[in-house]
Amino acid sequence: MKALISILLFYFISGRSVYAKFIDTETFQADLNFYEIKIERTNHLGLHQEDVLMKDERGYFFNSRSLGKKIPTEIAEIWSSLEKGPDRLENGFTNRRAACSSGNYIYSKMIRTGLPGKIDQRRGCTEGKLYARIIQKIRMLKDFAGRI
Amino acid sequence: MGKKTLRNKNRIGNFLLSFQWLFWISHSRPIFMVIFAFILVIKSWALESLPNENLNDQNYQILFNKIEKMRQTLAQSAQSSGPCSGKVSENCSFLEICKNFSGSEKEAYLYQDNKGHQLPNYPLLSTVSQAEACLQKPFLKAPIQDPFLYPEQFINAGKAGGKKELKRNRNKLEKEKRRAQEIFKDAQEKTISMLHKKGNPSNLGQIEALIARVKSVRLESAELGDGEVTLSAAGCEMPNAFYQRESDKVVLCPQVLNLPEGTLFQILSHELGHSIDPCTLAFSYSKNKMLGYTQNTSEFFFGANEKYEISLPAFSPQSLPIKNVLSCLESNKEMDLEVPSQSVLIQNIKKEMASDPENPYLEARVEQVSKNYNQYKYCSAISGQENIQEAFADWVSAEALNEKVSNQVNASQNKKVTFEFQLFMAGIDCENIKKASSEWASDLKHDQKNKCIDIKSTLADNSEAAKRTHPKSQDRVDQILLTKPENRKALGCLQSQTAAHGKNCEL
Repeated sequence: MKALISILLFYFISGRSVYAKFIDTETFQADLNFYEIKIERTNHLGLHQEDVLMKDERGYFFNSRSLGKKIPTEIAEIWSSLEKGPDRLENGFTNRRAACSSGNYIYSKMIRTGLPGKIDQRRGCTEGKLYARIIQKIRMLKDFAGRI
Repeated sequence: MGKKTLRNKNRIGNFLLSFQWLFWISHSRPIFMVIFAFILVIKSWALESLPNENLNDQNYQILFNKIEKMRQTLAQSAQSSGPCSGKVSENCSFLEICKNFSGSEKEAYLYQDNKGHQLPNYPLLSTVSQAEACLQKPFLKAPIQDPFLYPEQFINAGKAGGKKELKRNRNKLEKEKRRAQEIFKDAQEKTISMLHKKGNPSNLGQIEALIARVKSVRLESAELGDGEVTLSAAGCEMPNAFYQRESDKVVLCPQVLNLPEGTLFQILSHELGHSIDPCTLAFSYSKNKMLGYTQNTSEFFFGANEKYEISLPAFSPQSLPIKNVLSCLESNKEMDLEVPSQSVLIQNIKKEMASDPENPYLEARVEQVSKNYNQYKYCSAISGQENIQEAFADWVSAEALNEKVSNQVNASQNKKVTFEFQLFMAGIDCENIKKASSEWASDLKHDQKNKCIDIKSTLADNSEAAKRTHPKSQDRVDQILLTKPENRKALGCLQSQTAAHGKNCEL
């Protein structure tokens, strides 16, 4: 009985993820949930702007500003949509463009592995509804960062 | 919290976790249960007490004061800004133009004409708005009341400072839209007139085709809508202007409408230049009653289609009426304008595919380059770079200015327009201006203990995207704009060019 209680206690106190980490300490360093996302854009006049989203063991960060370890559901939805990133095929070919007139953006996600990180890069034009939605989400994160 | 310290904390956490094995072994002994419960509490404390990013009050106050001071500096300089004139020594170069900003690098505006049209200090303003984002609570008001810098002041009465101010801002916007239309018309006329003069019996048909293309272009001022989202969808998240190939129009964002006349003339004539750049000329256009001229983009994806009536025919790279200018510009090795060959492009994409095998985009790109290189090699979707198109559009704008100042007898007006012509590029790329904004950024970095470490200026020279889109500003001015004799004369330069200047390319 004592053994059963102790097993259950251990399970609830430690939690699955911590248990997984303790099995292999390397996994702790290579957690796929730790990443940095950079959304850089340069417009046709040469003006440049970038925003950086980061998640690590300390929590969520937007442009180096800490958003805390837990974020509200609606912000978490925005965050996960930005984490997923724009569709890979949303580029010069598939949206029927031979060039980006207004400028280009580069979305890059670097998964933290402790070793040189893996970078996933996507490009697109700095115009259109899909781009505006990305900017709107960035704005909502900015506003949230300003409120906390 | 430094990376090393963080790693040490993780090690402590993992070390404590490793004791949990003993928990399994000793489950039947209550004393061990107590000990290990204690260990678990310690462990969870170790994980929870990982770096806390909250600034302590003293640091925060220092940061707040610095940002407040920056805002005050901007506000004061904006209030005291007045008309100024440009001075350039007779050697005439981009660096000479930059000297004009000496002493005003930390001001909100770098230049103002006698009608109140201004060139904002974009790098510095961007640094300050990024810095503001580091604060725990945002400032309610922008540091400067200028709707062209903060377009929300065109939409929101609270941001504008009241209903009266909102109305005044909107009236100003309409007035500047009309002024932009006039400058656009002037740029169109000067470009057409310049092309006429390049005509001779052997190239008359080609010149007429170029003129028809320039004539077909319309100017559209982007609508404000609900603000940021509408502007972003229109390509106006930041101050911007561009030629939209699909719809044959120049889009002008509200943020650039208050620029000085010469600066707007440069931007608009450059964008008109894109209507005859080597990528646009590779496409045919059809005329539509409702939409005006529209690009037959499907040619790029599916090949030519006989179903639609062509109003403006396409040119192959071999038959381009502008090929002499292109080869002249490409011969300038300093500007790195050469378009890579088809085999080099395919080789490079295949290298990328090897490192990123799951990317379907790369496969599509190989297919496009194989199929479309011959007709569309000057388009960035094929070559991966836009420098040659940009350099060509600069050549058109330099020729349009040359035409404008050669027709005007007022020397001081010519000098003013020619000086203002270089301003946008100088305003974002002069070293002294970049230095001033990075000084402010690093001043904030110093005191923030790892907070807001990513403050960067708006300058794009370090970004990968920028390298693909534009030649360097210094080259654009010295190698193209200042090679035209009338432009040099207007600015009071020595007529003989120095080694710093490029060739005067001709059609």
